[in-house]
Amino acid sequence: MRRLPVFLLLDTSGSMFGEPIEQVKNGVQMLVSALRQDPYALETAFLSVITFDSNATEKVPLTELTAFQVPALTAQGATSLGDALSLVADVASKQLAKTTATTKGDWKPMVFIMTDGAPTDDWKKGLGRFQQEKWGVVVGCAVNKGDATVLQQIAGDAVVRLDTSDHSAMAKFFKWVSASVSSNSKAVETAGKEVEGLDQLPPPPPEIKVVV
Amino acid sequence: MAAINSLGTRNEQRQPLHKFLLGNRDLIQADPARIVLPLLRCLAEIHAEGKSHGAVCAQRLICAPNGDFDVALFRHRIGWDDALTAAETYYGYPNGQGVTMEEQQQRDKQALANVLHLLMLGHEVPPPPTRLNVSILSRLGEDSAWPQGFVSLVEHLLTVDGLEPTPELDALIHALSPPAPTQTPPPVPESSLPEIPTTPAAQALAPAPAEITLPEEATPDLEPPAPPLAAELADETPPGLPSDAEPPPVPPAVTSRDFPSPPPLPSYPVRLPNATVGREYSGNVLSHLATGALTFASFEPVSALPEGLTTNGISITGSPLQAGEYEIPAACLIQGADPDRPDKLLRTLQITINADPRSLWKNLASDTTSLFWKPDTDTGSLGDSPHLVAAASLRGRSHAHVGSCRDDDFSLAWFPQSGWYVLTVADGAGSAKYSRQGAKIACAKVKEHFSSLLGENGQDTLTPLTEAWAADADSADKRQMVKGELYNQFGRAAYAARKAIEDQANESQATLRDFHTTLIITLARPMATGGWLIAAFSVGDGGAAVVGVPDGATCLLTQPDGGEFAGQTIFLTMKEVLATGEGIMNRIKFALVPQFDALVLVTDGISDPKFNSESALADPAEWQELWTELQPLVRDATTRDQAAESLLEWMNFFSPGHHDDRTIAILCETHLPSKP
Repeated sequence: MRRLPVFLLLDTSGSMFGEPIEQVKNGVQMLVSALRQDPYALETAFLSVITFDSNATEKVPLTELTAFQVPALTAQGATSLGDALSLVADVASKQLAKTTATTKGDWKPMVFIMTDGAPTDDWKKGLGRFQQEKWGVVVGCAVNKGDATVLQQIAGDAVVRLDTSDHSAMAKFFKWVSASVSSNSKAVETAGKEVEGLDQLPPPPPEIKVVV
Repeated sequence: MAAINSLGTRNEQRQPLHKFLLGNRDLIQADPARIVLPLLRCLAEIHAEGKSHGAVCAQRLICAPNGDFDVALFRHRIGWDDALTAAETYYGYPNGQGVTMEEQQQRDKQALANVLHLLMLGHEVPPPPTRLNVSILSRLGEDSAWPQGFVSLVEHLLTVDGLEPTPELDALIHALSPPAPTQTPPPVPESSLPEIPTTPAAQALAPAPAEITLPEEATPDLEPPAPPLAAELADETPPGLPSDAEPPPVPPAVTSRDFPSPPPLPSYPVRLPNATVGREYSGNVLSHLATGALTFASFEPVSALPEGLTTNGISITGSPLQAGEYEIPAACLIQGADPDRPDKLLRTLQITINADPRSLWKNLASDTTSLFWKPDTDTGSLGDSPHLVAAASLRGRSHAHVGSCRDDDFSLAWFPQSGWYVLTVADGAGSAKYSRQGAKIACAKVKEHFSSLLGENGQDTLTPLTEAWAADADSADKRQMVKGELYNQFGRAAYAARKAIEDQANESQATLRDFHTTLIITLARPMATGGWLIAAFSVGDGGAAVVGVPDGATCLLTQPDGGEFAGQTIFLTMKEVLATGEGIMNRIKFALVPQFDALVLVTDGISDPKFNSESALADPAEWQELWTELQPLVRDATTRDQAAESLLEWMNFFSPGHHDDRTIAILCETHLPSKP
């Protein structure tokens, strides 16, 4: 079966401590609950959570939605975004199936990167590694003071901003992520083709501003 | 309020944690849990940094004005926006005790466990235990629930990395866990909570690490003793209490105070692996309950299990019936419990039951008034042909889910004048709004073209050339002649189909792209030699094959148009497809076969789930397997129409991730007589 891999790269640096990290957890839970109601996503989408603070960690390897459990997240340390980009690239190159004469490959992965700061590591090196792999839609989300210009170099036009990290804003973001995953799941199962850019995803709600 | 965290004074104020807390007794008495939680987090963070001696470091937390310890505040203590680095966290502090980092961290944990124990149980002197007890009791019994996840955090911290359980930890977990509700709560004994051992735990504890040893004499820098308890409690009485509630009397009376229905305490949640409706589930609960310190002999659910699941007290098994998020309180029997302590703990088992993916698919009828509507299913068979020719087409679940139309189509023909069979299937692109009509036109036009060629009054150019080749199969020239004529006829059929679609697009003020469709055409005719000529032309995915040819070599008649990442196909309606002669020629395959079991055409709604890869699609054995599945349907049919119906029914098979329209057309020998 061709999987639609979805990678969530979540900033768990010290600045996310408290309310923000709790809301991220709630958001991931919401995301999974919503996708479990969607027959396309339930059969196609595989979810992975990679967190980055002083290091990047694969908290949940690519897991089918039925088996997915929200990981424990704690906020601490610095913002090693570059490390996270390298890690997700390594995971993708090791775990994703390419289409060959004998196997049908996975769909191109979706990547959602959420950060509330600026990278503290050599993120360009990570970006270089990241760009060696093939990706579907890559969306950056800058929360609060998150550095949107860095995200733009990673995700191109597909960068959005949340001005707050409160419950309502986070809920809206993850709901939109869920809708995006749903719509891509449907695209691959019906049209046989992945969504390629932000403009092909459902329009984000007004609280989620597209950074231009 | 203790102000301990200016950088300049920190070092002078270095002292064991318990001493600090005793010296700042107002913090403890305000709310021990509120202090302990950030302490635990802080220690966890310090350990996560690969450092130790957190019991000391934890002192560096800043006390917020309300008495909270706040890690975030700590980080910003001198106005830095950045998170604290590991080096800073540790700056100027001695290493913890122990040789390896692991040992040091374990010491930290033991030290903190002891401090927690003191805080929670109040077994320490001075001050008199009752002071702390009452404070905790008032918290436990009344307004404030323990912070969410508190107990699990303690457990996690103290049992992480598979460290050996300690007596301190056991005592702590027992003390923190609310009793299982199946137990009748005993009357609150003097100076003690129901689940607290009557012997002072400090005595029951293993020798505490040096750090925790209480000073023999009061240190001069300790703050003066806190004010009398009664006054303190009266001040703290939460507004939610009934107005007639007696202020809790001094120690002895406190113990007899009634808590008629204390609010349920959140018990340590244990998440079990997810289940799915209709699928056999088996989860060993005990292995999930076990912590580094405690193992359990059995458990007993306090409320009903989700429908369909049962338990033997060790695991949960069965096939769940109802999707949802479930929380099941369970009384868990501790293995080898200390007789002085409660033998059961209440745990909350959490389990997610996924819906059966099949149940999530809706089946909405398509809108019969929509432009180019077609029925959600279609079947067809030829009544007069010597061989059985049958086809079926079924709307995919993805379309049924949203009530949209089937995009696939097919056409069947047999021309008695020439003996040729023409079977065609087409798959309209899911992303094109009128592709259902594109597929329909394509199939109809192909049939029309070959009818004019091979039917009544047709100028049949194919038969003489193919017969000539069949009679002299080794002749390259004759083969070449056949090839040329197939090129002409397939090309014209495809052009005619595309032209008709173009006309339709213009008429509907739409673009050709709105009508994107794939196309597979197969021709077949029995030759005078006894063999058959089979030929095919294809654009896009899906596949056609001739199954059961003796030499096994001739099989796939189509060339899949796929890219590196799956799902990229091309359509008849694309300009480049018929642009060059070579391009058209590459789409044609033909062969003479001595005999065969069946000619089978499928759209990708069938080829995707049934063939794992392009190489599988080219493998005669894989097609043979498909035919083995189909053959009984045809064999057992009593009429030709029924054979088609059986094919339609068969196409309902469920394959995760494959919910496209499905269309199949077959040609094979049959016992069913043809109608005159």
